[in-house]
Amino acid sequence: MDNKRRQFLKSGLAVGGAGAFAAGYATTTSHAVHGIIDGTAGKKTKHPHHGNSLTPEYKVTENGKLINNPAQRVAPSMCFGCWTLCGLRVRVDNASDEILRISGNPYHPLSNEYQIPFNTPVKEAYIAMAGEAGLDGRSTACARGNGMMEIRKSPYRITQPLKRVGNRGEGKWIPISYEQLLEEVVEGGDLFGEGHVDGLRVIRDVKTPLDPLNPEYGPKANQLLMTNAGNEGRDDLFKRFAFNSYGTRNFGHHGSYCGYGFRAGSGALMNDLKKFAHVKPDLENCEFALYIGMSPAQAGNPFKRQARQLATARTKGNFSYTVVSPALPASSSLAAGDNNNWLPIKPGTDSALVLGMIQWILANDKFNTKFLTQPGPNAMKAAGTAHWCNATHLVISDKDHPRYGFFLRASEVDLPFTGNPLSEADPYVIVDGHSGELSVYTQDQPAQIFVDQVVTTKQGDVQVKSSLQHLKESAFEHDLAFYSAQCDIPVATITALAKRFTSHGTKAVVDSHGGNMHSNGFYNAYTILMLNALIGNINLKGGVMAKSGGYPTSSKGPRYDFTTFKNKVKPKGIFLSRSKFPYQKTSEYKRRVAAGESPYPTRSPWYPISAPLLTEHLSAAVDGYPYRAKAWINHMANPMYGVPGLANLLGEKLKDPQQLPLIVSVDAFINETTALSDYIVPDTVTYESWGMATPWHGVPTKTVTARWPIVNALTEKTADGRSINLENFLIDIAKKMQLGGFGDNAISDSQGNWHGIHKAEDFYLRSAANLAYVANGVPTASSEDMVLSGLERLLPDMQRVLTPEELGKVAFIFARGGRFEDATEAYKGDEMKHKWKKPLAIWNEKVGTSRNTMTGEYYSGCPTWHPQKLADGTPLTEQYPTTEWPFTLTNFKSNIHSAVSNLSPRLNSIKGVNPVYIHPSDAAKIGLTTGAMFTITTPTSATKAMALLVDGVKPGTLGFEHGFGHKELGERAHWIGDKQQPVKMKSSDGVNINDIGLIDPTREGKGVLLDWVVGAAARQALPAKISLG
Amino acid sequence: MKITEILVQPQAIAWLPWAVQYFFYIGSAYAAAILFLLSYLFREHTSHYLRSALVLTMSIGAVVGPLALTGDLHQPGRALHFYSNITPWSWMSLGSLFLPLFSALAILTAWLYLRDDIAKLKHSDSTIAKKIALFSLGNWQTTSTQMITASVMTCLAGLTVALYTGAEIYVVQSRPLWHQPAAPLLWFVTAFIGAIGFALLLLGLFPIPAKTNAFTQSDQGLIKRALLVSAILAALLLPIWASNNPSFSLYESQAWLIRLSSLAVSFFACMGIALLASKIALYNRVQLLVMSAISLLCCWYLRWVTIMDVQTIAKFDQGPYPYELPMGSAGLLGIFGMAGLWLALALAASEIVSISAKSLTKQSFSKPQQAQ
Repeated sequence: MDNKRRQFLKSGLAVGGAGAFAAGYATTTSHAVHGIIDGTAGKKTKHPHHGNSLTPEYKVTENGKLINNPAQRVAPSMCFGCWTLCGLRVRVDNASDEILRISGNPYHPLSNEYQIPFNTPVKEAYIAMAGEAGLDGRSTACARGNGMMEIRKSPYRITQPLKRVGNRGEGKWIPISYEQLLEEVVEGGDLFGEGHVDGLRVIRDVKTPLDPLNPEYGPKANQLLMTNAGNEGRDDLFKRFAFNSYGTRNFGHHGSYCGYGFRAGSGALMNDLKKFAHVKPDLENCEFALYIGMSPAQAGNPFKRQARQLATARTKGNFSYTVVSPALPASSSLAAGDNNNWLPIKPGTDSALVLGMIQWILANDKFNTKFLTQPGPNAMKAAGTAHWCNATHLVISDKDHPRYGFFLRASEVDLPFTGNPLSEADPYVIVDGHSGELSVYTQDQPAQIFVDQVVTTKQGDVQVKSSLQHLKESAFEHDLAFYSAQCDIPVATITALAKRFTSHGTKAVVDSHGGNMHSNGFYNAYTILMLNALIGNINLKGGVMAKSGGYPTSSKGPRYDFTTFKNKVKPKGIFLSRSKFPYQKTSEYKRRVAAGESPYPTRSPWYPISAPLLTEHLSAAVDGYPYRAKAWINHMANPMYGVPGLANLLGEKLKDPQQLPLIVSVDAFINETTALSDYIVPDTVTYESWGMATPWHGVPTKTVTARWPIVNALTEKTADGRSINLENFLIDIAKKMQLGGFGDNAISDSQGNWHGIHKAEDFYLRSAANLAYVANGVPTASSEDMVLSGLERLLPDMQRVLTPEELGKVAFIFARGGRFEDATEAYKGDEMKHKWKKPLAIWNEKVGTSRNTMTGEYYSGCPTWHPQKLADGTPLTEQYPTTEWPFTLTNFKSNIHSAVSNLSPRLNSIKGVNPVYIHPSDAAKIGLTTGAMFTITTPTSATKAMALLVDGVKPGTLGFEHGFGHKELGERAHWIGDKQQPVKMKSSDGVNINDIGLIDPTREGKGVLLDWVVGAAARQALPAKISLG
Repeated sequence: MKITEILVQPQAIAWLPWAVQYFFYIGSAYAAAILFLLSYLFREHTSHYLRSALVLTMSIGAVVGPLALTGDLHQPGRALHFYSNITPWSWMSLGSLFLPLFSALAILTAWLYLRDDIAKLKHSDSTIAKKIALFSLGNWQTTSTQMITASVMTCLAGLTVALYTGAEIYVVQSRPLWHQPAAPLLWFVTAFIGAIGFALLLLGLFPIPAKTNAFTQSDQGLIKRALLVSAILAALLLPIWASNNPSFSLYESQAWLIRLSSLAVSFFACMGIALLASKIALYNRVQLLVMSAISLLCCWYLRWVTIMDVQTIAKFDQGPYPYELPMGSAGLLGIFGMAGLWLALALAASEIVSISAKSLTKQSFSKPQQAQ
C-alpha cells in the first residue's frame, strides 16, 4: 500500500469516525447547549422545583391564612368509578372548565374514617387539609376515583342523540335532532324501514289488561321495561317517571346480578324481604371479623372506607380477622403479622362450613343464650339486650298441615289476642322459660329456645318446633365429616373457627357482603349471617350495625311534597321477572288446578320472595312468560356484560327487533347492552349531573351525598338551551305525552303552591331544599362557603327555583357536597345509635311457606345445606359431573378496575388485562405457564385467557378478576354518521367470567343459571374444564 | 407459601449504555497508564513504537471516556454541581475530582512523551503539520525525571479512577452482582485487556515499519504477559462473580449461561492471543487488527454484561426490568459515535507518531539507546 493511498484511507476513516461521533454525541451537545441557554435540556418546566405540577388550588400561609387561586375552583362531587359512590373534592380549571384532579371530600364519611364536623366552614376545612398530619388530615380518592376523570372527555363519549342505521347492534349510528328523537320514541311508526314500531304513547294504556286471560299481569303500560344501572342518585326521578307518570310496573336495576344473593339471604335473616337490609361490622370496636366470600379491602361496599378501617384495625393489637374465599384476596396482609389469615374454600360450599360451625356452637352451648331467649321487645328491654329474634317462636311443623311453616299464633291455642285471628296483631306463641307453659312473645320474661312438642290447637294436635330447634335440626342433618367434605376444610379447622368466633362475646362479626353469587347463594348467605344472630351482636358497639341511612329528599319533605301530583298513577300487575308474587295466586295456577293437572313445574321459575330481577326481565320479555315487552328504556344498565350467560342466551335474539321492538338507551357511552339500542340519548357524567345518593352501608351516621353539576355538561343542548340528559329526556317525554308529575304544576310546596318541573334543576334543587330543612335544618351558607366551593355558577338557577331563605340553606349543603351527621353520633353508650328494629328471623316464615314452582316443594325456612342447583333442583354436580368438569370458577373484585372504568387510559396503563389465577399444581398437569394462553370451557361457552400461576388460589379453582373482558366501552369503534370512533390499539382487554356463564338447561322458558330460590345471578362456582392454547 | 406478585410495573433501567462506554474507555486509559509507566521504566528494552501506542491509548481514552460520561447526563452542564457541592461520602463526587485530574495528567504525560515527535513535524511538507509542530512549546529537552514524575502521577491518578468507578457501582446494595469485590476487580483486570486491544489497534494504524526488529522481544513480552495475566484473572473472577447472586442462580438461566460462556470463550481467546503474541509479527496489520478486535470485544462485552444485562435482573420484586438497545444516541449511535471519536483521534495522533517514526526507525538501527 503506498503512502498516499494509506493517507487517503486514514483520512476517510478519521472523517467517518468524527462524523459518527458528531452524530452520536449531537443529543448530548444539544442538551448541553440548551442547558446553558435555557437552564434545562428538555422542555422548560414551569418551576425549577415543582416542575410542571399544577398550580395549587389554594395556598395556606404560615399564619394559617387561605389564599385562593382565582384560576381554579374546588367543588364537591360524587364518584361513580364503582358503586361505593364516595364524596369527592374536584379541582377545576376556570378558564377551560376542565377537571384537573380528584381527591376526597373532607365532609364525607366515605372518604374519611372520621369526617370533619358538618358545620365546619369550607374555608376551615381547606385549611385543615394543608400541612402534614398523615392520613388524618387528608381526604383521598382511590386510584379509580382519580382515573375516572378521564371519562368526561373520552373520545368514546356520546354527546348527541343517535339513531341506529342498519341492523341492531351493527355499530352504525346517525346523529338526529333531539326533537326527532322525542317524536319517534313517543309516536313510533315505521322508524327503521322494518315495519311499524309502537311508540311510548301507544304502549301506555294503564287501563286495558295486557293479557285478558291473566288479568293479574296488569295493564298494557307494563310492556314498557325501564331499567337503570342502580341508584347513583337519580333513582327518584327515574322511578317517578316509570311508576307514577307512565305507570309501568317494570323497573329493574343491576342488583340481581351484583350482590343480590347476599342481600336476599340477609333480608331473610333481617326479616326484611322488601329492602333486603343487611348489617356491617363495626370495625372500630370489634375484635374478630370473619369475612366469607368477600375481600374487605377491595370489595364489599363501601370498600374505600372499609379498607381504611381494616388497615387501622389490624394495627390495633386486639383485632384479628379471617378471610374465607377460594382465591387469596388483597385483604390479607402479612405485614400485619399473624393477626389475619386466609382460609381457602371450595367455591359454593360456604354454608357447609358455617353449618359445621353452627353445629359445634349448638353442641357446645357457645351461643348467646341471653340474646336468643328473649321472645320479644318487652323481654329485650327487661333483659337489657340490644335486640331480639324469633328463636323461641313456635313454627307449625307438620308438613301436611295447611299452615306448615307459619308461626303458631295466640288465636290458634286460645291465648289472648287482639285484631283479626292470624293477622299481624295476633301474637306469636312461645314456651315460657320458667313454667314451660305456652305463652305469647310479648311477655317480658325469657322463653325456651329448643322446643319440639305437640300442642293442642282448635284444629287438633299439631307438631310445633321453635325456630332455633329448626336451625338445630337443620345443622345436625349432616355430620361434621360431611360438611368438611363439601367445603374441603378439615373438621378441626371448622371447629377451631367456631371456637374462635364465639370467644369474643358480642365483639365478633361475620360479613359476606358481595359474596355468594352462586346458584345456592341465598342459602349460603342466610346461613353465614346466622352466625351474627347466634352471638347476638346486632346493634352493639363492636358488633354489627344497621344501615344508618340518609335523610328524605324527593319525598314528602318539610319544603316540598314530591309524592302527590295530578294524574299520578300507581303501577299494577306482575313484574316481568315473576318476582314477589305467589304463583299460587295466578290465573295460570288456577287453570291448571281446575284442569286437574299438576300446577308444577312452571315454564320458568317464579320468585315469590325476590325483588324485580334484571337477570330475568329480558329473558322473560323475549320468551313471553309471563308476557312480552314492547319497549325498553335503559339508563346505563349493562346486563349483557354483567349477567353471566346472558350475552350467550340473548345476544343474537335482541338483535332481532321482532323480539323487543323498541330499545332506547340513555348513556354517556356505548356499553355491551346499549350497543343493542335503536336510539341512544346522550347523558351527563357524574361531575356534570345532579343526584342524591346515600352510602350503601358501612357508615354509622346519616349521610346524603348531594351532587350538582360542577362543570358544564358536554352533551348537546336542546332548542331551549338545556343539556340533553336523562332527566330532561324523561321530563320532555312526560310533557309530550301529557303525563302527570312533570311539566307545569308538578310539585307542591308546604304552602300548597304548585311549581313546575321543566328541567333537572327544578327537581333536584327542591329535593335539596327538603334535605336542608329536615331534622332541624341546616344553617345558612356564608358567601365564603359559596365562593370556595365553586357554587357561584349555580346561583342563577338557585335564585330562579328557590326562595332566598331556601337558597342559603341549600347552598350550605351543596358547598359541602351533601348532608352528613357528625362522626361523634355513631354510638349511644355501648350500642349503635341507629338500630335495626325488626326481630331477626331464625326461621323466616315467608321463605318457609313459599314453594319452588319448578318442583312444588317448600323452601327451607331456616339455613339448610343445599348444594349448587339448577332451577328444577337438580344438583349442579349431577348435571355436570366433576369427572368431566374438574374446575370451578370464582370471580373477585379488582382493586384497579370496576365494570365501568374501562374508559380510563390511566387505569388501563396500570392494569389492562386480567390473567386468570390458576394453582401451580393444576397448571402443571397440562404444562401451563404464567403468561401462556389457555382455554376455559364451561357447559355453555368457552373463552381464551392468559394464565397466572399463583399459590393464592384453591387447587381446582380458576380465579377471575372483575372489570375486564369488555367488548364495548372503548373496545369497539362505532360509526357515528361518517365518523368512526378511535380504534383502540390494545389487543386484549382480558376476560369476563360472565361471557362463559351458564344457560340453565332444566327450564322450558330459557334463562341463564340463577340462584334457585331468589334468581340472583350465578357467576361463582361454575363448572369448567381447561385446555392449552 | 410462595408470594406471587400480580401487579408489577416494568421498571426502566438506570444505567444507560453510556456507562458501558465510559467504563470501557476510561478503563483502557488507566490500564494503559500503568502499562506505559512499566514500558517507560524499562525503556531500554521496549520500543518507542509500543510506548507511543500505550501513551496514546492512555490519553485518547482519558478524553473519550469523560465525553461518554457526559453523554449519560441528561444535562451535561449540571456536572458543575459536583464542584459547587462537594460531597465527600459519595464516590461519584470524589470521582468528579479524580477524573479531571487523571485526564489532565494523561494528556500532560502524552505531550511530554511525544514532544520530540511533535517538534519533528516542522520538517514536514504539510503546512498544517508545521503548525502542529509548534505544540512542542519550545525546543527544550524533556528530562527523564519529568517523564517519570508525570507518568507516576498519572498512574496514581488512574488508580483513583479505577477505585472510584468500581466503588460507585459496588455501593448499590440492591444488586448483589454489583455489591461484591469481584465486580470492581473484574472491571480492573479486564481494563488491561482493553488497553492492550487499543494499543494493538494503534500499532495497526501506525505506518508499517520495515520488517526489521522495530519491535523488541520485551514489547511482545509485555503484551503477552499483560494479556495473559488479566485474561486468566478474569476467567477466575467470572465464576466467583456469577455465583454471588442469591436471588437466583445465573447458571439456571439459559440467557445467562450463554452470556457467561461467551465471556469465558472471549477470555480464552485472549489467552490464545497472548500465547501467540510472541510468535506473530507485530507489524502484520491483519494480525494486529484481529488480535485487537478480539481483546476489545472481550473487554467491552464484559462491561455490557456486568452493567447492562445485570440491570435486567429483577431486584427485590419480580420485575420486569426490560431493556432493548435503542438505535439513537442513547444506544447504538452513541456506541458507534464514541468509537468513531476514538478512531478519529487515534488516526490523527498516529500521524504524529508515524512521521517521526520513520526517522526513529532509522535511528533505532543506529542508536537504539537514544530512541527516547
